[in-house]
Amino acid sequence: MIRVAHSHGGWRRGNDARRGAGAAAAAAVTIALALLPDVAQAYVITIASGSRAIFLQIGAGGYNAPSNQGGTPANNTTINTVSVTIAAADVGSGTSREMTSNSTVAQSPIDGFAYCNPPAQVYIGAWSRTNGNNNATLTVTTPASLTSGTSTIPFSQIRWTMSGNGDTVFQFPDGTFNGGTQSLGTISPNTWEEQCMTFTYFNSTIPAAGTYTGRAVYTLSLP
Amino acid sequence: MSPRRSRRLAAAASLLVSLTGGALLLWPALVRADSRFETGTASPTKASAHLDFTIIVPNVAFLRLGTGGALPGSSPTLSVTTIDATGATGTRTAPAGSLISARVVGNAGSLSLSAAAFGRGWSRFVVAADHGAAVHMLEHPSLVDDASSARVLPVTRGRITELDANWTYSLAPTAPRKTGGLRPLPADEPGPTRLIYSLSMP
Repeated sequence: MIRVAHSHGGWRRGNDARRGAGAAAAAAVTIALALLPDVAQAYVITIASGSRAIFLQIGAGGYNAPSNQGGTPANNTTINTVSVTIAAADVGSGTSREMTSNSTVAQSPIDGFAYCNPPAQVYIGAWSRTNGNNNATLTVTTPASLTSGTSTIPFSQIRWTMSGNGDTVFQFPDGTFNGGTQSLGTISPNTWEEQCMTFTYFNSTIPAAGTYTGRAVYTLSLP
Repeated sequence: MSPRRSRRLAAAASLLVSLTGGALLLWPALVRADSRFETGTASPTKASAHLDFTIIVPNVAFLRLGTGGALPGSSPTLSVTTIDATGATGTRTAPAGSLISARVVGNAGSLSLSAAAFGRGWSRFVVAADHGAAVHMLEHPSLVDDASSARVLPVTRGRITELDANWTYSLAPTAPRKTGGLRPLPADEPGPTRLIYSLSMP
C-alpha cells in the first residue's frame, strides 16, 4: 500500500474540490488530513517515503482499489487505443477532429474520484517513491508516423490537451507529438501526479485511404 | 470550486466512509490500459506504459468542375460554360466563357475520368488544358460524338491523386477536305449539347 501523506502529516490536493471527499475517505483509512487554503495550485499528492518504487499508468492501470482505500499497484498489460474515423467529406479538410478511446476509466486511483471523462479522455498518472532527492522524469516517445502498409500519417498530426475534473492547474503540459521523445515533466520525490489526456487529430493532409496505427510509449524513469 | 461538484463529492465521501470495509466493491472492473509498477535499486528504474493510436481514412474520390473548394467535402459551384459552335469551320480562338476549372482528388490509387458526350460535333472540339500554378495537370478525356471516352488518371504521390486544370474548349480548325479533314456540320444534324463527366475509383 502507498500511504498518502502530506509533509505535515496529512494529504492534499491543492485547490481541488476533491479535497473534501478525500478528507472523509482518508479518515476512513487512517490517513490524516491537512486542509489547505483555497488557492490555485496543482493537484499533487505527497506520499510517504519508503523503499524505492515507481508507478506509471496510462488508462486504468493495475490498482485493485483506490490507494486511499488500501489499493495496491500492479502491472497491467492491456493497452488502450485512441482512435478517430474521418468522414469521407472531411478528409484533409483542416478541421481538427477530437479522438476517442476505448478506455472507460474515470476514477482516479488515488481516491476513486471521477476525475476523467472517458471515452474522450485517457488517464495518465505517475508516482515515484524514493529515500533520495532524485526527480523522476516522464517522457513520451512516438515513431515518426502512423502507418497503413506503406502509407503514413505523421504523428505530428496528433496533439493532446491535459485536463481533469475540478483541476485548474495541471502538472503535465499540452503538446503535439513530434515523432521522437518528448518530456512531459518531472515527478518530485515521493509525489503522485495525474491528469486526463484528450487527443485531437489535425486532419490537415489528405492521406491515402487506410487504417493507420501507431504506438506512443510513456516512460517514467527514476535515476 | 464549483458548488455542484462539491455536493457530488460530499455524497461520495459519505459513501466511502460507510463502506470502508468493502472498498474493493466500489472499484469497477474496468477496461484496463497499460500500467507498470517497478521496484528495486536499479538506476535508473524505469516503467513504461503504452497507448495505441488509430486513424481510419476512407476512400475519397472528388471531382470539381467550376469554382469552389479544393478538397473533398467542399461545395463546388458548377459552372455553365458556353461554347460557341457556330460556324462549322471552327476557330482556335476560345470564345469567352468556354473555360472551366477542373480538379480531381483521390486517395486510393489511380482514377478514371470519363466524358460522355451527347450530340454530334464533339469530335470537332479540342480541349486545351492549363494547370496554372498547380503541380499536376488534369488532362481532358477525348471527346467522341455521342459516346463516352475515359482517361486513366495517374497517382501523384503514393496512392494520392491530385490534379488540376483549366480546360478551354474550342473548335478544331477545319482541315483541308482533301486530307480527310472536318467538314461543316449539316444544318439538320444535331449539334453537341452536353458533356457529363464521371470520376470512378477501381
